[in-house]
Amino acid sequence: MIRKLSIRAFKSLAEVDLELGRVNVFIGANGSGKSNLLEALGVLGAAADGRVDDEALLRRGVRPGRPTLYKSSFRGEDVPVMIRLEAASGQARYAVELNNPLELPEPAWTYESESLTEAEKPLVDRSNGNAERLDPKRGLAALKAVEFPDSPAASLLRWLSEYAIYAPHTNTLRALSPDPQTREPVGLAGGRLAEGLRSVWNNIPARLVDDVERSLERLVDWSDGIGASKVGSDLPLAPSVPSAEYVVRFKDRFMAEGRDELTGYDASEGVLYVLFTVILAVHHRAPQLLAIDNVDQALNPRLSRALMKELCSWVLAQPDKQLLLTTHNPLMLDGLDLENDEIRLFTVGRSRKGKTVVRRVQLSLADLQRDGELWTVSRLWVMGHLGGVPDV
Amino acid sequence: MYSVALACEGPADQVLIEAILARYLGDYVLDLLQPPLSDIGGGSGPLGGGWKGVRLWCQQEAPVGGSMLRVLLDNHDLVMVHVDADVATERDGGIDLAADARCPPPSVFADPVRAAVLTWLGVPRAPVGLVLCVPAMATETWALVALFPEVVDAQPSACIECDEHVKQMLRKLGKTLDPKLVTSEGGRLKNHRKGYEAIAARITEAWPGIVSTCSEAARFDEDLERALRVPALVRRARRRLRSWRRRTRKLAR
Repeated sequence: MIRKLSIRAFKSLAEVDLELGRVNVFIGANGSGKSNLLEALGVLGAAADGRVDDEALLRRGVRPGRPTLYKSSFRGEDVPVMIRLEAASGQARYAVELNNPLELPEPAWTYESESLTEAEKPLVDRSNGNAERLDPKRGLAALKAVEFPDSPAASLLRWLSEYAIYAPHTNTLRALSPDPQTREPVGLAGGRLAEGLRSVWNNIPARLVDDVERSLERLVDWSDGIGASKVGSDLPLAPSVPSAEYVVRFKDRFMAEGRDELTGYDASEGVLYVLFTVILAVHHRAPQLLAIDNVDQALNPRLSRALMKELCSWVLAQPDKQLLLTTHNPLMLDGLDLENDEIRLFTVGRSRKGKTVVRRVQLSLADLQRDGELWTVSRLWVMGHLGGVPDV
Repeated sequence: MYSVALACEGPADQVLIEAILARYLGDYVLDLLQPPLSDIGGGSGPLGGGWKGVRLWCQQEAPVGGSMLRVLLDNHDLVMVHVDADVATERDGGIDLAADARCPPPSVFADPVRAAVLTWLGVPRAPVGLVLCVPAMATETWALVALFPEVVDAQPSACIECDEHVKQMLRKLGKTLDPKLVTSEGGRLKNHRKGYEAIAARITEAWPGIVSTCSEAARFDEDLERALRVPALVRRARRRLRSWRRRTRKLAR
């Protein structure tokens, strides 16, 4: 998994260095740069996959932008020539410098330099001196990866290139709108949720099956059963509802026998967001490294807290799984066991000059004890103790 | 980049302190702790604004069985608490002044207020990283000195820092400023954040002059410099210690 991430001159992130855990939660004011942070990793992922152009960025949930937007442009400061991104796992490190002219930008970004090292040994080193014969728009590490399969360096490239930013939308989860970025097991906006749900039980680490089942029962307490079915006449779905091949199906435990079935179209939207998150957290075919922007969307605060707690346990039970999450819901933070060093909370804020600053929150259980009661992390956040709150 | 947490009396004070910090830190992140603006509580949040709001905020932080102040210090390079020294003259301020307490020097009022803030916070002395900002009777004095130094020099008052009419002077002298700093509303003088924001750069520039004119500004200046000298090393060591503690706890499990 990615242990260190370094970003230079990308949008509002002029100079950001991070040490990541397995579950990483980012909180901060709107516009503080949380999404930019997730996108920087997406750009690095595209570079690791061999090409940085709009198509590669969109596939990863990154908003394509012109170089004037991508390169940090702070008032009174020179616009940097290139963007520099670097990620390191325990044993490998991948770094890239990308450029695209401000005037007349090209469809794909140019690799100004690229390096991949493993245990300090260079596997790929592309710099100005040795880059003449290479296509400047093609990543060298992606081409050379076949030469060192099953190595830490190859794993690092794979994690990066598979990385994507998920941002679910209600209508896509309900299968009413198509997902612009379909993926296995679910699209970036939640498309093909029913298909993802159908396949999840066969693609989940065996030791997690019971745990996830029990958790779903707790999280979706109004339902007696959740599944996915092919659209047919037996489904309680109005004929006017446009639907995909499969739909999510629920059994409402409070309703009378025979009238207790409903589909994802009629169900509470919250449960669809829960299912979406569960699939991404445990499905074998979901990326090992992924981000969910606004993971708390449509969730009741207490439900989001419970979901976060479960998410952490599922992620920690899978060796290379790593999540980056953003949230605006304070209670979600109360589901984080910050005593565990693999679970990390970061505040994201803007400096007076507009630069995004990311800080890891330092908290221990002892810090939360007060007057014999336990203060919650959510309370501390709302009170401003942790930062990551707007001055409005 | 430095991160600063600030508890202060009101939005105008916040702007002035931010402008002073800009002189030292250039670029930094500010987290406002008090007053938390909200419609409940007359626009200043549940704790209220002014010195009473700061006092309540401090008392809320007081370390009975654990310290929230420690959390703040662990997550910020500086924690700054601001309150004007006029609390010392308030009947319900709870500050005992000597019967013959007179300004100058302004520290006659500022010192007991600084001690009171530490009492409110429940700490015997200011821990590393905590900086108190007690600019004598009114923080607005610093704006007056920055904008109208010649008027301040010509004042008959023995000490501008203890002059109770500073806000009134700012209203009169600042009539040509747009936006205005202070206006009179319903017989009360009201500060306007936008006005102070418009002069923030002038405060930053004039800070050395303010320091040479106002003794409490000089003290704040010294405290700030001292605090900025220490944190980088201390904080790094503290973080290492905490991470080591975490690791050993994990191993013990």
